[in-house]
Formats: sequence, C-alpha cells, structure tokens
Amino acid sequence: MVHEIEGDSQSLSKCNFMSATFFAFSLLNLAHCFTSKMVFDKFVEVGRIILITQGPYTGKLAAIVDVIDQNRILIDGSTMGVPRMPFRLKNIKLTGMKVKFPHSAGQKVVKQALDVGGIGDKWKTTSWAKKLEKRKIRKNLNDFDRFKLKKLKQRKSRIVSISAAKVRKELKEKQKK
Amino acid sequence: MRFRGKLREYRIVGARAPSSTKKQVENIPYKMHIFATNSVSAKSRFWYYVKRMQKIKKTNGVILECAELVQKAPNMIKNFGVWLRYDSRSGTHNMYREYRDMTKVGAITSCYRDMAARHRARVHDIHIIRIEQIAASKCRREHVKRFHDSKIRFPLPQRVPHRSKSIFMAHRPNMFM
Repeated sequence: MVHEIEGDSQSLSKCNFMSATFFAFSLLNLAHCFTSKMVFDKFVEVGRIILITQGPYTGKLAAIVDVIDQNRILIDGSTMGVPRMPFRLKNIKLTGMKVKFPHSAGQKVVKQALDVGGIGDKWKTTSWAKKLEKRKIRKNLNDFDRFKLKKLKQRKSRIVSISAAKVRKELKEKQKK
Repeated sequence: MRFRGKLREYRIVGARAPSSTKKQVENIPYKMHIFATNSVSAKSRFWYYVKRMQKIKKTNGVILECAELVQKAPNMIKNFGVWLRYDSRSGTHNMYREYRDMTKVGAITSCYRDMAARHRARVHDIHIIRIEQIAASKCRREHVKRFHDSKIRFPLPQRVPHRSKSIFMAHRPNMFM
C-alpha cells in the first residue's frame, strides 16, 4: 500500500515536471506564433472569399470588398449570384480562398478577379464544399431513398465482412503451418 | 416619435397657411430634412421643430412638399459626422458623433441605437441637428479612423455558433476558426 502511494507520488512529481516543460514549450510556441507564424490563417481582409451562412443567400460565396466596421463588411459575389451589399460578420464564414483586388474596387474589377481566380470551381473541390453538398443530399432524401440507402449499406457491410473473414481464415491457416 | 425598423430621409417644406381673416403676413417657406419611419411621423416631426423656432403650428400651417430622398451611392462606404442634442436625465447636451456606414439613414439609425445603448436616450429625447459626410482625413473618432486602412486585416477569434436545434450534441462546437 505504502509502496503504491510512493509510486503515485513519484508519478505525480513526474507529471509536474512534464506539465512545467509543456508549459515552457507552449510559451515558446506562443512566442514563435507572434514572431513568425500567426495562430490564425483566415482573416477578414480585402479579397477574402466568404461563405454566407444566414439569409436568402445562404450557401453562396462572395468576396470581401471592404470593411465597414468591426461587425460589418461590404461583400460582392456577382458571379456567384450575390449582389454587392453590406453584410454582418456574424452571418458569414471565412474560407481559405482569396483573390486580389484593391479595397473598395468597382464591381467590374471584382467580377474579373473572381472569374480569373476560378473561385466557383475551386470551391467545389474543397472537402468543406463536398461535405455541405453531402449534407444537402442527405437532407433531401425521402423515406424510400433512406430505405435504399439502408439496403446498400447492408450489402456493402456484407461484402466487407465476407472478405475480412476470408483474410482471417487465410491468416489462421498460415499460422497453423 | 418612436421608430421601429428602418429610417427614411424626408425633405419637407412647409409654411404658414394664407389666412383671409387675419392681417396678411409674409409666408416664408421652411425646408427641413427629417429622418423618420414614414411620411406621417416625418410631417409631425417637422411641425414639432418648426413650432420651436417660428410662430407656426400645424393648425395654421401647410405642408408644401414632403418627399422621400433617395440615398446616394448606397454601395459605397462613407464616414458620417452627426451633430445632435439630447435630453439626459439631468440636462441637455450637445454632441458630435461619428459613424461609418453606406447611407445617411443607416448612420442615423445606428446613431439612435447607439444613443439608446450608451446614454439611455430615447428617440424623442434626441434632436439630430446636422449630418454630414466627412472625408477620412477629417474624422476625429478612433473607432472610425481605425478602419481607414487599405490593408486592414483581422481574424475572427471566437465565433459563437448559431444555436443548435437539439439540446444535446455529439460534438463540442468548434469556436476557433
């Protein structure tokens, strides 16, 4: 019993040492972040592509044209069916994509930049867009579709389990030899 | 005056009504720009202000014009200076405030909201004396000047997700983007 407690205290002190080193490392990391690489990689900035998450334009993309204040930005996604308008930062999500144009650029310039950047096509290749698309398909399934999906899933798992059993059997035979 | 929703800008011209019984006085027309939700309350507000400055009231006056003004360049970000006076619980104060917005009515709307939030001033306690679009170099307030940066860039550090429909979630929401 005593021995156990001793062991525990040892491990505790080890833990303390570990946490201290971890803390030091995290401090170093923090310093590192400030000097070379920031924690954030998506910013509210001119040219940043955003995804609209609220209102009639939900699910559409637009570019940030300018910043009105800390809560609102001016967006433009005329090639993606979003007219130029002020928008609340709460109702958008920043994407990893960016295009280049000067701040408060005219609609023509923004349109050209979006076309050249091929934003619509680029977006479709991202896993985020694919996930959203999948979610949409799932949501629109009717009862029969869900039934079909269930059946397909069963068929898939059957194939998997049969082939897994085969492999298992082969392994066993090999071990016997 | 109460206001709910969006404000509109009205140009109202009114004068003393010509009277056959009394001695003829000069009928000078008075023009005023009023911010109100509709033309009815705009006219009412017009008489409220004119009554304070001239010996004219609604019963002995006529409205010559009441026109809603179209907001100029509603897709361009501007800086607005607003001069106002308001009655607080202890006295009357003059004030200069600055807003960054797309339209005059937008700036005035946020001004009323701001005054309610910061000074508990009701709409009927506030008189807008003047509103003017001001150049970036003439801006005085730090919260407006902060956004006069063509290379402005900031992250969205903590995003509170929209409330989920279900009470329980399988995954903790990710607030860090």
